Amino acid sequence: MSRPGHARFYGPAARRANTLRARREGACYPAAPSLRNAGGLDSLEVRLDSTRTAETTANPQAPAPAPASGPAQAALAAEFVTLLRGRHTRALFAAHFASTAGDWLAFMALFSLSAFEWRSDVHEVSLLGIAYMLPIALLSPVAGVWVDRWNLRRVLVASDLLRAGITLGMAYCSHFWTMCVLLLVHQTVSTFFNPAQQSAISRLVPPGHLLTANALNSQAGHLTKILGPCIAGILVSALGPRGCFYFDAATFALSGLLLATLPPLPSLRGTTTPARSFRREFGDGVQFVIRAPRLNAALLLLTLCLAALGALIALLPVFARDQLGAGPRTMGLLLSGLGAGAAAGAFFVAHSGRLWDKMWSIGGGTCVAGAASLLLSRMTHASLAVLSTTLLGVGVAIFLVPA
Amino acid sequence: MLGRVTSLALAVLSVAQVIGMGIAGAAALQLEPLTLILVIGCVLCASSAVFLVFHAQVRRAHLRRARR
Repeated sequence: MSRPGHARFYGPAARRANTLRARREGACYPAAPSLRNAGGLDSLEVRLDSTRTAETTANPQAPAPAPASGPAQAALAAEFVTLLRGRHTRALFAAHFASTAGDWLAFMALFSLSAFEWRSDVHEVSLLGIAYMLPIALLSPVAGVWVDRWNLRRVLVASDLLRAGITLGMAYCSHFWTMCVLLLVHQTVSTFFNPAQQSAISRLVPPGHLLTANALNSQAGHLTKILGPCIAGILVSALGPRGCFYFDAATFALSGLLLATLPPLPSLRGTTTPARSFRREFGDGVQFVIRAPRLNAALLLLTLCLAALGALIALLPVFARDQLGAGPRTMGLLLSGLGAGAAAGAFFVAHSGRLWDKMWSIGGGTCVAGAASLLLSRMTHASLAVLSTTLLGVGVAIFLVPA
Repeated sequence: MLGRVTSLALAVLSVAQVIGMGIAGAAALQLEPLTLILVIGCVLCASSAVFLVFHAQVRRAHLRRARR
């Protein structure tokens, strides 16, 4: 692995230099140039690398790398099929899909329940949203370190069965604060499930297929983020909030049963990356972000957009109830519109996003999302509001997918 | 390193969503949901305009430097 801006220099002399440097440094980055000892080929390489980086940033409109050719795509598809034929990998991917889709379903069902059955205000709905997001924000960066110290199969099965139980509890819950606590616990358990599932992939899939497996897993995750609100919206409108909790609990139980068929995956205690390496990598990452002004601006905009999206999610159920005079079904349709728009936006970016710089997509998508919010605030009819949320979904996907 | 940056970015973005929900909850005590959605729309449009202008300037500067 090479660091951005320090890409390897290819050629016979550089290969010799890379080998020498790898011997000299012998740490996490065997091919990274040492700036402190830079001299001779190293300094030439650093200069050429910086030129190459400058060239890349100098021409943001430079043509993107050509997409994979037909035979390469066919080989990739064949590898996907091979992976999905494996019993263990199939169970892992199915569990991942059920878990992430289930998170969405529980979240949307809760919002419908609080807004329409309990007639909650915006601040109560936003408290539910905070209970949903807070464990992810606080625990996700460190959950992976703990998960590697435990038996992965036990973590996976236990977290699925726990979530099935918690979701069933939600179906019978009739107090707002109890629901907040249940949601907090549900999300805390989810925070441990995701890194355990990713770690299990790296231990169950043969090294040659690992890249494809990770890509497949990541695509499944993105697909759920896009389709999750759509599926959740349809189910909320069809089954009602409490029916969704039963459905969700059943998918978690099924996922737990699938994961119980995995072989034992004992802990990796003592074989994990040392803390010093983690700190160095983290510091390098932060330095890299600080040195790139365009990346800084994009991250700032993305943070603002997601804060705005969080606020909109908290406002939407109350808006639907008070402004549109709607019930859970219309709320479901609004969410389906959001999901369908996101799917359409992602499709659009995937097919046309290569034609222009990603930064234009991020800025343009935010503008579309802003315009959709302005339109939504003027809507008094449910069908027009659904169109606005669809446009909002398109905007969100256009800025979120390239980011 | 990319993994660490991604983890950091995801955590920051999740915190941003929590803050956004918190702000919406607090602001809803003073403002109507409709007004809040309108304000959010204005903020998003204004910030995207600022970002696009900034990006265009940076890009123009890069192109000028590359031409020299």
